[in-house]
Amino acid sequence: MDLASIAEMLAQGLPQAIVSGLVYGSIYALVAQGYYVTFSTTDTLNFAQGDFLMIAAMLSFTVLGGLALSGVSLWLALLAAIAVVVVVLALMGIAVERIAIRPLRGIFSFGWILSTVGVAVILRQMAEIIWGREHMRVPSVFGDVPIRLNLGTVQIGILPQEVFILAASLGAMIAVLFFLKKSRLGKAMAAVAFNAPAAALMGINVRHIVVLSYALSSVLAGLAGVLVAPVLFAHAHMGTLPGLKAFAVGIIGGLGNPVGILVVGLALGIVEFVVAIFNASLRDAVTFLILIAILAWRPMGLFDKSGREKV
Amino acid sequence: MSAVDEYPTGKVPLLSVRNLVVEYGYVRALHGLSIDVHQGEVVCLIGSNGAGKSTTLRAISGMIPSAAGSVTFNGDDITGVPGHDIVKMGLAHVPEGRQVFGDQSVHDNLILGGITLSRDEGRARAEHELDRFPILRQRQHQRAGTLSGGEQQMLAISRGLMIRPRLLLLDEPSMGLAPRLVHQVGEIIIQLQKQGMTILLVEQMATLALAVSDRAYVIQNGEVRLSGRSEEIENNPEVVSAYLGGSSTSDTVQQHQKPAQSGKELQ
Repeated sequence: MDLASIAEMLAQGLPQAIVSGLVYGSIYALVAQGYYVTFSTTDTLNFAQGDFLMIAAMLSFTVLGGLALSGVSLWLALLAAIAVVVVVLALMGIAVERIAIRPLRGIFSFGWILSTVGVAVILRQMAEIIWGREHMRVPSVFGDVPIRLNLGTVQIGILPQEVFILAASLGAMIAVLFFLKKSRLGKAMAAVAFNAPAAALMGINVRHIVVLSYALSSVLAGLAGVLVAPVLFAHAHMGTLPGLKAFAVGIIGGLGNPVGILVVGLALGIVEFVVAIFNASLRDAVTFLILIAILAWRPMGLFDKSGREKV
Repeated sequence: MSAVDEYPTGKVPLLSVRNLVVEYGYVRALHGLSIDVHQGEVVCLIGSNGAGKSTTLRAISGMIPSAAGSVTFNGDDITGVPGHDIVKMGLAHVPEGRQVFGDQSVHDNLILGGITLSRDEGRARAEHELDRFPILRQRQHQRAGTLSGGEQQMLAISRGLMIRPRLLLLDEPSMGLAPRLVHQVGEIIIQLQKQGMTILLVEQMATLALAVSDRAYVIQNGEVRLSGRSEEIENNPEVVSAYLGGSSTSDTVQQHQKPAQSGKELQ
């Protein structure tokens, strides 16, 4: 492969890679915002986050599929699926904090890493038992006809559901950031993150804030699951790689830096699809190679200022 | 036990700490400490580093658990009540080292101080606090972490006042401040008392503490060593030599140490 043909492939494929990369990158960022929310308040995170995404996708298959078959409009079915996912995932978040995090959160304990990875494995097997091993198709409210754009010699295709993914995940992230910065509850969460004993002296129930952060984190993963189910097929192992990639996004963007997470999430998506122009089956390998290289170069992530006082 | 403090009029004290024991692991920090604070008083705890002054405040406000003894506040037994619930009963604790939320604005720090109030009440009182401390109004949109030490101390006190507490616990407000600012902290305490605030003050700087307080307890090795009116304590030879720049260290007092629960010889 000579340089000219590489340039040619890039020119042909780059616009599509950027569009697709933004779509899937926004999902990584959305899941990683969940890591940010719990890590800032508790210095822990849920390694089953990707499998929470999977459970949400499965639930949306059951609810959306079931309701759609019984003749309910797809929009109504989607709203029902979102409602079910929000409630179930919030409860799952509360449960994982109670069972897998809180008992193991000693000062020097890394037990919570093992316990949340354990939760991930349990969820995967449970999903196989409940929903089987098949890849299940979840209908999209927007249909399956791609939107095609002709830019001279280059063509871009995007599914309406993918436009929805990008818009909804960006919207959800903006809403969460706005909530964290502007609402009193968000300020209380930030206070707990900064200095939990002092926050308690203000009358803030630190434990409630921790539980809330786990519920919020899980709902974000759940939302990601509902969004991607129609384009990825729902199956028991669909959450593993997105969960891992979102973790990488959190590490490189900074687990305390929501904007960094957003930027790195979108960038990771684009990198993946650019790699896929040349070799789709090496996509994940090359992506992780790049992540390792970045970590070797900047072990604390790209935007670490090391200036944050932690008391 | 006999340590019920008869000062000043035999009325029920606002805060009554009885035989408080606090342990950090195997180390016992408080050995049955008893103090009283009456409505409208400024009471100070003085003593050397590690005597248990801050530990006493932390145990009162529920930051740390106590192993034995009781804390009664405003008629309620608050021993073992979680700290975040004690705040709602009208007890504010301004902790050692100020502990402002450095990554949030001055105004947001005040709002957090009043987070147990309704939203409107919180906003209104934040305005009131910004009137009380004009320098904080100038800085209200700045991140609290960018304030000077003295300004942070004002913010910490102001944040504690947001709930209009019945009792204000102040832990080492002069710590790390320049002399001019130490004087200012003293002025603030005097002003607050004039407005009717009841204050329990912990201070390393004994001269300041005795100058602004009505009564004092000298704490040593987790026990009340001496107690009495501040001007009496100020003139007590043992205290003068140990804490007010007399001959030297707290060893002087230690030589005369008596069994626990003493500390009444000045009354």
